[in-house]
Amino acid sequence: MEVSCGMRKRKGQWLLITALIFSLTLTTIVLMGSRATDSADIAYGDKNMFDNIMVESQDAVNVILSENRTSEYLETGLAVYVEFLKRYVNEHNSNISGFYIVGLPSGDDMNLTVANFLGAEMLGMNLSLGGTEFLNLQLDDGNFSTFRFVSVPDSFLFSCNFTYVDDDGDIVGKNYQFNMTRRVFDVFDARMESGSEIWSDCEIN
Amino acid sequence: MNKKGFIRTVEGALSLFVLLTFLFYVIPHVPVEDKVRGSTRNFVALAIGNLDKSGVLDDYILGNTSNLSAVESALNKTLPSSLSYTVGVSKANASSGTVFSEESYVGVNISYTVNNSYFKDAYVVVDFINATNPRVYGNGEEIFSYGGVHPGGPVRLDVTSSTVEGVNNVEIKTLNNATVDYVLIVDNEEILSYVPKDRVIGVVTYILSGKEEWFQPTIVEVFLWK
Repeated sequence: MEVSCGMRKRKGQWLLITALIFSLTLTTIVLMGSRATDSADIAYGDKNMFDNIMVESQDAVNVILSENRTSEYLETGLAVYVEFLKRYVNEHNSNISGFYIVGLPSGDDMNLTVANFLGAEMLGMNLSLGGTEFLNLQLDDGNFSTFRFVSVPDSFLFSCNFTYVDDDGDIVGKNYQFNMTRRVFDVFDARMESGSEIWSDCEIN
Repeated sequence: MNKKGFIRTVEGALSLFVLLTFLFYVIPHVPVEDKVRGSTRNFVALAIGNLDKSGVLDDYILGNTSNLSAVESALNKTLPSSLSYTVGVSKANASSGTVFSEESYVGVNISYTVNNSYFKDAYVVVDFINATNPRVYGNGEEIFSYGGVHPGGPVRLDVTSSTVEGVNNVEIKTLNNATVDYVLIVDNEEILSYVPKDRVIGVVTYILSGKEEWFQPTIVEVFLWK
């Protein structure tokens, strides 16, 4: 009799328990769905941010050189811009690393400014421009240096290669080679990490 | 029988109450709904990007003064009226160079001035070259020290908390004569109108590097809330 009585009591409780389980499940699904959509939107937003950075970082070279067309001023300006950029990206809980290579004509010569913000040393860097070479260079993180190539022809083959050790301890190789005329040109290579998302791009202008 | 029936009716009513409460109160108030959704922020980001592409953003923002009202008016044409927002701008005022720190902790000073109410933050990045026992002070308060010969590489230091209205000093001291490269950035921020403190604020940002012959790293900000 007691068992039977207990069963009867539970019949009513099941209604409550089912209602609670159903409600909690529904809430969880709604919450997870919202967060999943939001995560995707945030990732898309980070991509927008990275695209904005790629465009403005190339514009920065032109604006700095418009103020003062010297390699010394370019080094200083890029140092400021890179710190501004790193801070901006850090404020969005992300990290950015990369480098600039900027060619600047000076009479018949060409100055090549290399700005390293990879967070690692550039190793075994070889620069070749119009037959002149600088070989096996090393450039520390945060180092901005200019190399002068004398008597550069109007058109030439530019090449640059180096390696660096990334945060995971892997050796990463970079290699660029392209034909260029004696004018201002720049290579901007950047990598942005935001949570599990990584964006990287290289623009040659 | 009547008692049992009554209890079942009460339980059924309670179940219905629980269900309705979750459906009409709890679910619409799940925490994620308190903030502006990512898709809305992306829409705002695209709107700012379009202003930049059309060339008006540089004109409104860059230069000695920013016309934030003009930015807001331009955004009003694109953004839905149901969205609450205001616009702001953060401009980086930077200086950089190489200084020589005199031995025996005589050191060297880098000064900067904060003379308006728009101050947002300040930070200095130093790169020591063969410096022994380097120390950095922000208005007398030690913010960095290293024992031995510093290996070099950029050291980023936030001096916001030690910054005061007027002239400020970042003092670098070393045991030996040393060379120090530095970049000092002071950010000034202006916001068009009040941002409510009791709401969850979403911020959309967009950077500008400068225009024509004016290098001026700048962050355009749109503050959004529900």
